Amino acid sequence: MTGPVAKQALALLFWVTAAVIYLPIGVMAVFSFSTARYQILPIPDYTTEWYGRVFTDGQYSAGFLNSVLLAGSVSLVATLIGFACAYSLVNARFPGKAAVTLLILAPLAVPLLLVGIALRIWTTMLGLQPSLPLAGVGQVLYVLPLAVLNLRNRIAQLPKSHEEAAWALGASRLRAIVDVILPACRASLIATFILCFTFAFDEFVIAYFLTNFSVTLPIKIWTTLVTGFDPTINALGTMVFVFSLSLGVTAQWLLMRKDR
Amino acid sequence: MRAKSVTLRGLSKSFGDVQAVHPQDLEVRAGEFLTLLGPSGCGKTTVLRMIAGLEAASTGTIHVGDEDVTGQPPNRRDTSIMFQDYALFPHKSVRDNIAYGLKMRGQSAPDRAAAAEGWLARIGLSGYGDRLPAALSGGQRQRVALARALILEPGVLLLDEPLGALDAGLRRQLQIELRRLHRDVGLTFIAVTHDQEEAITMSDRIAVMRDGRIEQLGTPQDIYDRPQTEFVARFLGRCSVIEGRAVAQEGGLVQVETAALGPVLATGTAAPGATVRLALRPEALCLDEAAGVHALVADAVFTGSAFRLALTAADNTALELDLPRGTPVPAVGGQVGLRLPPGAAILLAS
Repeated sequence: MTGPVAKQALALLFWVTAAVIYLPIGVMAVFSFSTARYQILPIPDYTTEWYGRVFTDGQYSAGFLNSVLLAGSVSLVATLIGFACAYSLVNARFPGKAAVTLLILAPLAVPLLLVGIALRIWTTMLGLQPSLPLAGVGQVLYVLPLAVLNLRNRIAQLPKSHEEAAWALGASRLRAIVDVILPACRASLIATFILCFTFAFDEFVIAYFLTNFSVTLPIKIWTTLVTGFDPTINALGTMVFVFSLSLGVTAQWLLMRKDR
Repeated sequence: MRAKSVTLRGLSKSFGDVQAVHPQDLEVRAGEFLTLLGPSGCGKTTVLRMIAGLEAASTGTIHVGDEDVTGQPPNRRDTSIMFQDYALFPHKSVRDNIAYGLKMRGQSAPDRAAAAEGWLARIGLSGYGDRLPAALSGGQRQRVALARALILEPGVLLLDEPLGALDAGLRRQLQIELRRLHRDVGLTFIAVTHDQEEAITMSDRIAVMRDGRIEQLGTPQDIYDRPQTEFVARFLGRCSVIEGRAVAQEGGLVQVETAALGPVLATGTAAPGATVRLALRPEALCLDEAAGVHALVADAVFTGSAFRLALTAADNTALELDLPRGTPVPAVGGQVGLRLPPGAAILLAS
């Protein structure tokens, strides 16, 4: 696939794909600056009023705050658990390791809707009320595979001898992890946190099934859309898109950059 | 004295179905420099890692000094290990790398820094303390790794291919340095290498390993002059092997009738009538026009210090002969007369 024709075909495929993904978002971004209440062309005039509304309307800012708090705690917990899982998967030899790995990574393959419904049924059976913390537990399950995969790759790259040298010099297992493994994984840990954050921040299904009255931003947006269109959504959507994209780019940059 | 002995009794290691190390006994004396020498996959590194506690023994015991350390984790053993890749912590400064062991022992920061400075001076790297390992050359890293391992004054220092990552010139220089360092610190050194020259230069004793077993243990001279098996003879230095039949024993020498060189007086013992194999070092054979035995000169190769002749004996056995400097080089394709001084050939175990 190195001929000039193949190259051009690949380039075309890339731009078509990119257009399908980003054009609608671009359109939304354009309308977010329109004074009209509906998406009509030509745009009568330009305004930043809707962006102001996002901040003055308490419902949106409450949703945003909930989302940030939830995604933040979910990512922190997932990164820590993910590191522990990844370290064990790389280092430990135990029977059924493949099965355990599969179990940890399974949420990637199971349809999210099923996970959401199952979690709702299960928590109801346990007598738990839907709430943000409960949604957090569900979302940790959802983003954990990302954290484990990311960190496992990094830990597997590290020369085993560094840790062994620390042991031989008197460090305990935990001490060696803190002194040798964690510093070597710093960029990957930050990247993993950000990646989990973007996934948890945008996550809808689990949050929908496991929250009640205080809801996250995606749920707020959805309920607003169901009941009727509000141009504030254009502005909000654009902001969320820019926010998520910049986080995602940062995470990728950190992952691609070599850990030092 | 800090130096400790290491005693292995019936030590073995298997990985699943693979027997990496067969049950071995080995006594490393306190303060000696012992090298485990062998080709890759012979189990030498596994033995070293078991002594360090990085690999669990399948059977047998390990004593460091009088203490049985078989079940102890690496941080509880009075051993230090230097890895082939040095394993310097990349995000810590050279000083913090060297002082790491002291930090684990709970020494105060000023004490650690002072001790690290002392070692930096000792290895000729004063002023390099604030650098990261990545900013050092290969030889400098090797010295930092040594200092880091030695700062704890372990009873035993384990060296896994200590010079393996360096280029040839530096390696020769550091062989001498390592030997000197061993004398200076007076600790027990156990090294692993696949490089016979390295083993001969550095060690007090060498254990030649093959397929998970120690095939021969002795001083470098012992092993070079009196290899017990063809494997050892070929692994340590060059040699030719000829076959023959033992005729009679005369003290420590055996009279052997060979097709290649006629009657030969070899070092060793064998029952008369037994079929035997003899090892010949290239420097053992001499040219002698008056001798009754002849061989064909197949090639003459200049090795830097001498010419090495590849010879073909009467029975087509290949022989090698190092020509003393100044001796005229015989023509390739011609015949030469050969003489073998009594005892120069070594009887190999069958």
